[in-house]
Amino acid sequence: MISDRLPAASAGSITFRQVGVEVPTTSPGQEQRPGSQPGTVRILEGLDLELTEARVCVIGANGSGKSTLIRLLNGLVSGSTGQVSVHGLDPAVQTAEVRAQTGFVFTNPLVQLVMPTAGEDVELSLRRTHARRAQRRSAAADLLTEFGLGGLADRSVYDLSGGQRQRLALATVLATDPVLLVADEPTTLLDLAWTLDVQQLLLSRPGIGRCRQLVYTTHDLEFAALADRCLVMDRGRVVHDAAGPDAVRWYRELVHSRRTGQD
Amino acid sequence: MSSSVPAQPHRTVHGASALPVPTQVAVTGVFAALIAVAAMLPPIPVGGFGVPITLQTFAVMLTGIVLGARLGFLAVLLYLVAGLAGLPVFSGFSGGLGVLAGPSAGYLLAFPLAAALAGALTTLVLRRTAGRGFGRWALVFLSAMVASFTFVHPMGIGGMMIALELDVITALGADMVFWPGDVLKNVLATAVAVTLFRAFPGLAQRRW
Amino acid sequence: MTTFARLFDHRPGSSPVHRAPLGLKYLVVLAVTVLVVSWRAPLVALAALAVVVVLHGAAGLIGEFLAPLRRLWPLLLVVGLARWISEVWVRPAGQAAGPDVGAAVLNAGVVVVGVYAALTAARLLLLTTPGPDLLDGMERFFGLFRPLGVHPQAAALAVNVMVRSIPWVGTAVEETSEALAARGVRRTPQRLMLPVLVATVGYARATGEALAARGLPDEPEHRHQEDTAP
Repeated sequence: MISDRLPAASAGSITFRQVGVEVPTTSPGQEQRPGSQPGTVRILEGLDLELTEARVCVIGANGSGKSTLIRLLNGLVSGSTGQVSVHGLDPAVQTAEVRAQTGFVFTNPLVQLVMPTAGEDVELSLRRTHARRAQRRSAAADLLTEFGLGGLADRSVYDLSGGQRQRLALATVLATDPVLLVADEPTTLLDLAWTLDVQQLLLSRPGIGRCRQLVYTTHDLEFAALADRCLVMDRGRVVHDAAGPDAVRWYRELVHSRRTGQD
Repeated sequence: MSSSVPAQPHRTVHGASALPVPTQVAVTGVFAALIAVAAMLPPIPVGGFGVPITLQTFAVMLTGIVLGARLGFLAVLLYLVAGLAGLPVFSGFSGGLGVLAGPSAGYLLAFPLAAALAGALTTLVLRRTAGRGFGRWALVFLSAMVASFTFVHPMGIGGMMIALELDVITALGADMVFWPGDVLKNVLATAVAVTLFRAFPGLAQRRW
Repeated sequence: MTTFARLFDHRPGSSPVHRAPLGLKYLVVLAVTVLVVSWRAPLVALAALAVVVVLHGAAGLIGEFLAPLRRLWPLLLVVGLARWISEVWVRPAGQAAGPDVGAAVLNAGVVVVGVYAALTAARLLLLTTPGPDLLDGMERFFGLFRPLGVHPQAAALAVNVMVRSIPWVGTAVEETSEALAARGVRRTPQRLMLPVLVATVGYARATGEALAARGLPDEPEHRHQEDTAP
């Protein structure tokens, strides 16, 4: 198990107080849940959490609210009700500050990488810390080498393999040395070798540099079991909250009991 | 992306707000790329008319209709500036300031203005005629046609007269070749926009 | 995808043309373009063409000078024909002497040669300039409009997103086209464009989210001074 070898980092703290998220819908009635405004869909409700563990995982079915929950952490989504606090900051208000210290890894690296070549994308991340272009260029080359992507700086992101792309996406995120690392299904598109590679990179990060905490979603239950704490989401609510292996066992039973109930 | 959550910062429930700045930047860049690809695609032969049309003007009008006056103008302007700077994004993989000496200069310079006008008129239509079915989309089509004949054709004719030293009658004749294709493209742009507004209702709620 | 991925057609080299400042190259292209449009004379058109040929030679790319002809000859033919028609049939309506066919051909030739000189001059700039330098040049260009409220970093970012997205959209077109072919459906523009466009708008929103997650573009109060080092 990877997590057995990892140092226990002293984590920061994330709190949710009575957080709910509603979004407008074009087809009212269909997904309407009790208590939500007409013409809106409630995606998250009654979220009350305090996350202090170094490695936190969120699992649950497609559409259960996992992605919305982690998007609250850097203000990509803001709550309709309640309050979120990330290491002492409110992402809905102090958005720029929160984003400056939060790294976000998306499922599909092709969405995440916005520049034409690998090197330029890393340079874009280094803008804040390296004012001079020449400095940025050499720092980017060093970083690519550190991530096993040396010599690929001038390569188009389209000419990289899927695994190299996700590693590059991680490099561009970690280039800013984020305090909080958030990952939305970071291994879904990868083969087994790259999956283990990216898992190791993410799980080992808390405690390195400024990084205090990792929060991730996944459908890979082996990956989920490695978390210090794992939340199980169902229809916009947290329905189970335990250490990684316990939560995974509970979630398996939930899914299996529902399937046999249907048959 | 597993969940059904819209991949966008959420609007507040009450009323429409403008797109966030990063989304504006992304939409501008991606639609400029869309116009570039439309210009690069091989021309599509249109049955009865025999005129091969490129999808470039289609993409320009669609950009105006879908993004509105401000973002539509900026996206097409970005495409134009990138092409004039030298990126080979004009039709036939050409690019650079040299095209200003060519027959299409007037058309290219008209595109941002046409997108802006089509976008402004469409916004007007969308605001004044909530849920009035077919007639509404006929008005959107008319917006695109008005933009075509206010900017694209007059400036295209002017461009040919200057760059090729043509008289107005020859230039008009050369321009009229594009008219049937233009009508088709504006019909297509409107039809596609209807679907896009359905898929992304946020695009139809806008300021300008 | 291969068609769209190779947007920059840079031919590395160390000739004076390669090393010339980008601003100077633009000035030369602009000068050739303005000259051939504003001064219609056989000698001017030929002189402009000669300058462009010499520059190709100086860049060690003389073989590239005629390469665009393969693509451009229909355009040049149409240009020449339109010019000739204009000269022979329409212009002489008010003249007594009737059309002078020789002069009409000459005038059509001046226009065609001028257009070709301008297009190849612009292409030489692309061939001798690395892609990133071209993008940096655009960023500096947008910087000129800062007083008008343009946010240069946002504009430069949009340029990069555009360049980065062209292969994406191109791939989406090709994939949809293949999917239609696989199902034996005829590829009409509407059937082709609709799935591509829905995917494109979704992609644009996801890209916006990715930019936001990286804190881009910088908020004006966080914006640091752009370095001007080349």
